[in-house]
Amino acid sequence: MDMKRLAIGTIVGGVTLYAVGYVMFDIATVDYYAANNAAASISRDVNLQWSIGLGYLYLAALLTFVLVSRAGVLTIGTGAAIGAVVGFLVWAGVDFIRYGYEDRWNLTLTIIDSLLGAVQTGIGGAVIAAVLARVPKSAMA
Amino acid sequence: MDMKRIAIGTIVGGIAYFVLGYLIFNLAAGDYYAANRPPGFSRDAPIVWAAALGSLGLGLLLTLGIMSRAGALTIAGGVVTGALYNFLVWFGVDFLHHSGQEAQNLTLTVVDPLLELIRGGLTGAAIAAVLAMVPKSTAARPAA
Repeated sequence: MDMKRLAIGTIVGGVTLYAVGYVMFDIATVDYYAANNAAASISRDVNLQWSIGLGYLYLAALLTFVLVSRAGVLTIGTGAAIGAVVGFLVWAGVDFIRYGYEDRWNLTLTIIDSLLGAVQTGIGGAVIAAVLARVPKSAMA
Repeated sequence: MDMKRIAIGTIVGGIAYFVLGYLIFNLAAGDYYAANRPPGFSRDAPIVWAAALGSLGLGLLLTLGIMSRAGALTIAGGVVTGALYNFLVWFGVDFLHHSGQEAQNLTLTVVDPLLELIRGGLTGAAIAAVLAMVPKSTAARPAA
């Protein structure tokens, strides 16, 4: 495993997911989420930015790990496609499990969130692939 | 891409993920979770189909991860891949949810992905053990 490429992809991906997530979830769809959130009473008045950053770093690490483990040439298109698939599976899996056990979101938001997560992670995968294409592979790896 | 192996891995992984989730999060740690969450947040009666559907999705993710590993498919490799994938998924998701909601305190936000590490590892072992018994499709093999 090429740790340098893994670290670069994780940082670039984390920053991208954070920026795209802010635009998608804190600006574009914030009212929609608020209207479909049954757990609004426990929503924070101010989001914990360090927690958002940490969460996206770990998801970016997963996405980068998947991309660098893959055989074949890494292109922006494959990065976007793999990112979208990984993002959809992660968020659909988590959202439906949480919907099953918790009174947090309604079913519509559970589905919409999975699709938005796929878009966000697809963009993240494309950016990671674009950057990693410029980072030479380590001879050790 | 060997669709038969993906389908088998997804079903086995989904079932293992669901059953392990019940054992770990409902039976073993149910009281701990209840004590660290706001009252009335968890459903009185779980929606089982939703939890099963979510488990299938994550079973598919783990299957794809295990099948894309270089080298021979082993149970140990399945444990490592499953644990790593599931830990990263839930660590990321838990901290993202913790950032905007007081649904779980910080301690539970850290403990949850550690328990998911166990669930992912055991699910990965089940997927790898079953896939090792399923012959690869000739259509999925690269041409000689």
